[in-house]
Amino acid sequence: MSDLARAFLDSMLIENPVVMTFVGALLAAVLPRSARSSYTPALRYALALFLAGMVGGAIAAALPSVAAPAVYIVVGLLGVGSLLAVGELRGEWLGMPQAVLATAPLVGVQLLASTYGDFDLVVAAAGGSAIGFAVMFVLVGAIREASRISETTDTFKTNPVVLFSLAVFAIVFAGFLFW
Amino acid sequence: MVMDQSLRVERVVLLGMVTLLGATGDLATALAALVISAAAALVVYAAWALLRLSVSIPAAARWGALIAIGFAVSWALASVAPYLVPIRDGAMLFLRIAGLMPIVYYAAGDGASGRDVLVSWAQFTVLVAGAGAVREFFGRGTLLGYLPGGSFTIRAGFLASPVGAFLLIATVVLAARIVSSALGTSNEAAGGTDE
Repeated sequence: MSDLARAFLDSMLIENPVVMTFVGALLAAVLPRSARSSYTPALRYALALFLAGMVGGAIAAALPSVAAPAVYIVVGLLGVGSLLAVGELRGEWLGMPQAVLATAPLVGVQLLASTYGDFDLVVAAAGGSAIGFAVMFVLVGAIREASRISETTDTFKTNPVVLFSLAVFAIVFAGFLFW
Repeated sequence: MVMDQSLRVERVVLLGMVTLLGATGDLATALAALVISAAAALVVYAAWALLRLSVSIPAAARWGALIAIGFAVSWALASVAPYLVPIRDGAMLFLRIAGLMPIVYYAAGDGASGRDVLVSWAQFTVLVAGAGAVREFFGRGTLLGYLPGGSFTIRAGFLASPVGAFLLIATVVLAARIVSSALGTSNEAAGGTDE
């Protein structure tokens, strides 16, 4: 397996930003309401994560390490701004702007991608993270929707089901640790 | 009262979810994450108190500045943490982004009273320290890197993994739901966007 393919698949599976490295766990656990309504947001978030990971990761890897945090936060905030511009992250969550939810994944993916060093590997890692996030975003939307319309009591609906389901996905992705 | 607390536990889990998942693999890292998060929250709150005096600053710029400040504090303190306590390599990521967690900005939001913020932080402290202790003791067989009292444990390695992290906080949320359900309250305002 080439280094490029390895970086891409590692970032999508064993470093999945939702269930393995957690940086996108909150965003994916809270925002998607159903599978069908998650397709477009998932694509937008994936594109923002890919661009942030590629640009921020490449710049941070090329600059002295002392400048890296400034790069991460500037690129992260630009990513949040671009998501707001296309209509995502509108409204509030627990009294805060929903934009607060997106900063951790946008910065976290840059941090993860920059560890690969070479530009082509950073691009592959950013792409893998973005696709891994998008797939989990839609799947969580489907799980949340299914739990919401199920006939069980409210006790077991939505958040508990989503979190236990993410544990199961973590078991699945952990199976790729030894390839 | 108990009903409110159980619903708040679920909110607190969501507010600090990434820190609860990523920085609780061992107790030392969990305590470091707690200190970093609290310091970031205090600095962010102070900055928010200063910024709100100026009505001319747009909300987007104000929140952008708060997020940058929170991240700067957590990044700086995370750089110092390995000199004070042993931090696993993989956990540095979560210490560095601890200042980006929503719980850091909870006091600067619109929806929480001062008492609510303080109680939420008390619960967050218990959750992070408790999760760190449980995951290290049962997942690695140690506590703060030592065998506690010469005890013997059969390690449940999955508790130290991402699987154990999700299982632990899912169990906490489910327990909070069961308590609130038994007491006859609804699950509204627990943090989901569709509840």
